[in-house]
Amino acid sequence: MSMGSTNPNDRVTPTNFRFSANILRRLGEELNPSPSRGLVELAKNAYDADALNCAIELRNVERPGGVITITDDGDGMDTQEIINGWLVLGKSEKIHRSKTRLSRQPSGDKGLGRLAALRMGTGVSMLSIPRESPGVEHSLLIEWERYTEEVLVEEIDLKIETRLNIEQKTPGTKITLENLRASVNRNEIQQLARGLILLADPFGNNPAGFEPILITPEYEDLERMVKAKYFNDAEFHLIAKVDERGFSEALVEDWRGETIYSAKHNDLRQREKSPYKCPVANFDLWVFILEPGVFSMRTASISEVRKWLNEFGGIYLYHNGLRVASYGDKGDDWLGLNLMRARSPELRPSTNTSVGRINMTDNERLLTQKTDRSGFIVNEAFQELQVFATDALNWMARRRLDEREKKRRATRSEAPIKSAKEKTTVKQAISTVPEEQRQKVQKAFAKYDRARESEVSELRKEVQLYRTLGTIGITSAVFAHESANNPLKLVAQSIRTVQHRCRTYLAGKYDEYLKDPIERIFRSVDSLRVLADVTLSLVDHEKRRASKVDIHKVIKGIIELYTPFITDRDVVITLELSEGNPYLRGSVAAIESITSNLLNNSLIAFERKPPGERKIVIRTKIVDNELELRVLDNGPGIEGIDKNDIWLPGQTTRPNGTGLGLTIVRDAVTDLGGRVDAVEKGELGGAEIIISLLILGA
Amino acid sequence: MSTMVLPSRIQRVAVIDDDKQARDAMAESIEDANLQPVIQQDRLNSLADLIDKLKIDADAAICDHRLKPRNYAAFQGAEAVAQLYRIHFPALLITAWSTEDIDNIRPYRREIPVMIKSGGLEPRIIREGIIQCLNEFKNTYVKERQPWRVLLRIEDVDPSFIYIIVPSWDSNTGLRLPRSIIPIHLGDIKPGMRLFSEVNTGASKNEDLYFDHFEIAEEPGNSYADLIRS
Repeated sequence: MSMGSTNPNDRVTPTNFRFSANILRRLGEELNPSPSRGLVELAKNAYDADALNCAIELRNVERPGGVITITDDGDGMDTQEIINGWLVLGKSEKIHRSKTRLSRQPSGDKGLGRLAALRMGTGVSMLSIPRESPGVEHSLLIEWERYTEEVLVEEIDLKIETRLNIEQKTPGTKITLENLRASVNRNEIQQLARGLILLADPFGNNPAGFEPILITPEYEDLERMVKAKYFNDAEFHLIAKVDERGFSEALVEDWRGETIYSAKHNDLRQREKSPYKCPVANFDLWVFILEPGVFSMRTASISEVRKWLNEFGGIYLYHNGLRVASYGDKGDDWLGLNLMRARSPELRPSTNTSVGRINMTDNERLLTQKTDRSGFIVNEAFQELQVFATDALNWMARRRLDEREKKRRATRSEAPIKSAKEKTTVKQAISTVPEEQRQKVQKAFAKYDRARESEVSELRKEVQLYRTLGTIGITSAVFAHESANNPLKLVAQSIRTVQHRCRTYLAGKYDEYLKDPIERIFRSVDSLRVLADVTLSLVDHEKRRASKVDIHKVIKGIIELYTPFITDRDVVITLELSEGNPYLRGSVAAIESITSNLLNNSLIAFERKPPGERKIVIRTKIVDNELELRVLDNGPGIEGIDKNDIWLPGQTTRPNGTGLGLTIVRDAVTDLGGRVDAVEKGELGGAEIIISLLILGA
Repeated sequence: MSTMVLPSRIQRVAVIDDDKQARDAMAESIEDANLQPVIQQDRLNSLADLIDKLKIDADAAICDHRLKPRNYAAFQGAEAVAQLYRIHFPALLITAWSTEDIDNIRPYRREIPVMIKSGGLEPRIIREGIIQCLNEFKNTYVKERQPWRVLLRIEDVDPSFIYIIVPSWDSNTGLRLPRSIIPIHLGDIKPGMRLFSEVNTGASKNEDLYFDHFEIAEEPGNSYADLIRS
C-alpha cells in the first residue's frame, strides 16, 4: 500500500469489537459456577472502599426468588466512579495501587466473580452515597432480561439517577440482588462465611478494622461462625494478666474450656520475683494444633484454619482499647514466637499456629507511642511487658513439656505390662491350635520369645552404656572447664613469674640450671590445656546445629586438636585430601565424632603391635556425588572379630573398651545418609575403614 | 601522638580476680613489671562501688573475666573493663578464652583494648597493654583495633545467636554473635538482611573482632539504581 498519494476512494472506517449481551451470561454464570466467591468479592470492594462494617443479608434464599443485600458504610461512589470503576468488568488493579485512606492495601478485585454475583437475581439495584458529597445519592438499576442474545452490550442503556439525599443517609453503598434465579445452598453460604472470616479483623476493637457480618436466618450457625471466627477450635487458650501492682497470674484452658494448668506470679516470673513494671495487661493466646488426629473433633477444617492463621496469626497489641500497629501484623513477630519455636517445635506456638492479643490499660501512660505511630518507644515498661508475655509463654511451654514427659514415663512403665498381657493372649491362642501342631507352634514361640528377651536385654545394656558415657561426658566437661580456668591458669602464671625472676636474679645460671625443667612445665601445661580444650570443644552446642559442613575443615580441626597426643604416641599422620572443599548438610559434631572415633581406634590399635613405625593416612576422594573417606593405619588390622561385627555396640577386643566407638561412627554416617565398610588388612597393612558420604558440592 | 613508654603517673595497678591465689600470682607479675599491685581482696558489691574505689586507689587495673563463681562480684570482668574504658581508666582483661567467654565478652569487646589468656601475664605484656589502652583513649589504634564501617550479612538467626558474614574481613567464615548485641530498636533481624557496623577488620582472629553501632542497611532504592544506570 502506498502512503505517498491520496486516492479519493481511500478512506478509513473506525470500528471496534462489539459483544452480544449473551457474553455476560457466559462470563458470569458459566465461568463462575459458585456465586459465593462473587459475594466475597463484593465484600472486598467494601473493604477497598474503607468500610468499617459490611452486612451481607440473605433472605428466603433456600428457594428461587430470594433477595441478597450487601450494605457497607464505605466511601461510596460518585457517577464517574460508577462509570469508570464499578461498571468496568474484568479490569484488575491489583498492582501499584496505593494504600487507602485507612491505610488498607486494596485487594483491587474487579473480577468476573462479581459479575456472577450481580447476575444471581433477575435484577440488581445499587445505591451509593459518596463520602465526598454526602448531599446526593446515586442509584442504578440493571434488569438482566434486557440482555438477550439479540442485542449488543453497548446498545442497552443504563441510567444513573442522582437525587438529593433528603433522608441524610450516611455514606456507603448498598447493592440488592433481587428475585434470585436459583436457590443458594448451605455449602455455598458456608464458603461465603469462610471468605468473610478471612477479611475480618480477628478481634474487632480496631478502629480501622473491617467487620463483615452475615445475616442468614436460615443458617444461624453460620452467622455465629462469622462472628466467633475459629477461636473455639483452638487446642489451648492461654489467659495471663498483670494487675495494678505488677503481679501476674495465668491459666491455660483446653478446647473444652476446662482449666488444665494455672500459675501464680512466682511460677511465671522465675528468676526474680519482683513485680512487672508494666501497665495492667491481659494476655490471651489461642494455640492451634494443626494435625489431623487432633483436629478431627472440631467444626472447621484444618486448611481453613491454617489459611486464617496464615492471614492473622500473631500477637496483637491494644493500648487503652485501641490497636497499635504493627504489632502482630504479618512478619512482625515482636515477641519472637517463631524463634522460640525453633528450639522446641512440638510444644511452642508460632505465628502460624496461634493468634492472640495483649490488652493494656495504661492509665499512668507508662508507654509512649513513637511520633510516626509505628509502635511504642522501647522503654522499661515496654520491655517489662515483653518479659511478662515471654514468661507466660515459657511457663505454658514448661507445663506442656512436663506433661509430655509424664506421658513418656507412663508409656515406658506400661510397656512391659502390656507386653506380658499380649504374651498371655498369644499363649491362649496357641492352646486352641489342634493337638498335633500345637507342640510345634509352642516350641517355635518359646524360641522366638527367648530371642526377643535377649534382644531387649542387649538394648537395655546399650542404653545403660550410653547413659554412663553421657555422665562421663558431662563430668569431664565440668572438670575440663574447672581445670582450664583455675589450677592450670595458676600453674602457668606462677611458672611464668618463676621464669622471669630466675632470669632477672640468677642471670647466666638460669639457662644452665633451670631453663629445661621450666620449659618442661610450660609444655606440660600446654598438653593439659589441650586435653581440656578437646573435651570442651566436643560439647560445644554449636556443633550439633544442622548447617553446611566443610568436611575437610572439620577433619583438619580434629587433627590439630589431637596433635599433642599423636606426637606423644610417636604416630605420623598423613592427610591425602581431594581437591576442593567437599561439603554436606549435617552437623559438625557428626563429622567430628566420625573422625575422632576412627583416630582413637587407630591410636589404640598401635598398642597391640611391637614398637616400630606408626602411620595413619586419612584420604578423601570425590566419586560422583559422594565423598569417600578412608582412614588407614599400619597397626595389626582387624583381628579376633568378624569385620561385619565391629560396628555392633559392645563388640570390642579390648577388655576395658566400650565397644561403642565404631557404633557411633556407623550411626553418625547412617544419619547423614552414608555407608560404612571395613577392610581387615588394608593398604598400609592395618585396618582400613571406608566411609561414603553424600555431598552437596565441593 | 601515640605514647611509646609508660607514663610515670601510672604506678598502682589493681588486681581483680575471684581466686585469691590467682590474685597473688597476678600481683607478682605486676611487681616484676616494676609497678605496685593493689589487690582487691574484698567482695565487690556493685560495679559502681568498684569504679569509685579504683579511681582513688589505683591508676590501672587487671581484671579476670569470671568473677562470679567464687562469690566475689555480681558482675563480669568484661563489663568492668568496658565501664572503665569509658572513663579512660586503663584496664586489661584476662580470660580462659573459651567459646562461652568469647560470646559473652563480645558485646563489650569494643571497649576492651587488650585481652590476655589466663596464665599468660608477663611484665612486658602488662606495660605494653596499659600503653595500648592509653593510646586508644586518644583515638590512636593499633592496626588490629582500628574501627572500620563495614557491611555485614545475616546468615541465620536462632534464639540465642545470630550468624553473620563480614565480607570485608573474611567472606568464607561465618561468625556467631550473641543476639543481645543487636539493639532492640533495630527490630526483627532476619537471614538475608544486611547491617552496617563498626568492626575492627584488621583483627586476625575471630575472638578479637568487635561490633558496634549497628544500623540497618537498606536495599539500594530506585534512585541508586538510576544512578548506576546513568
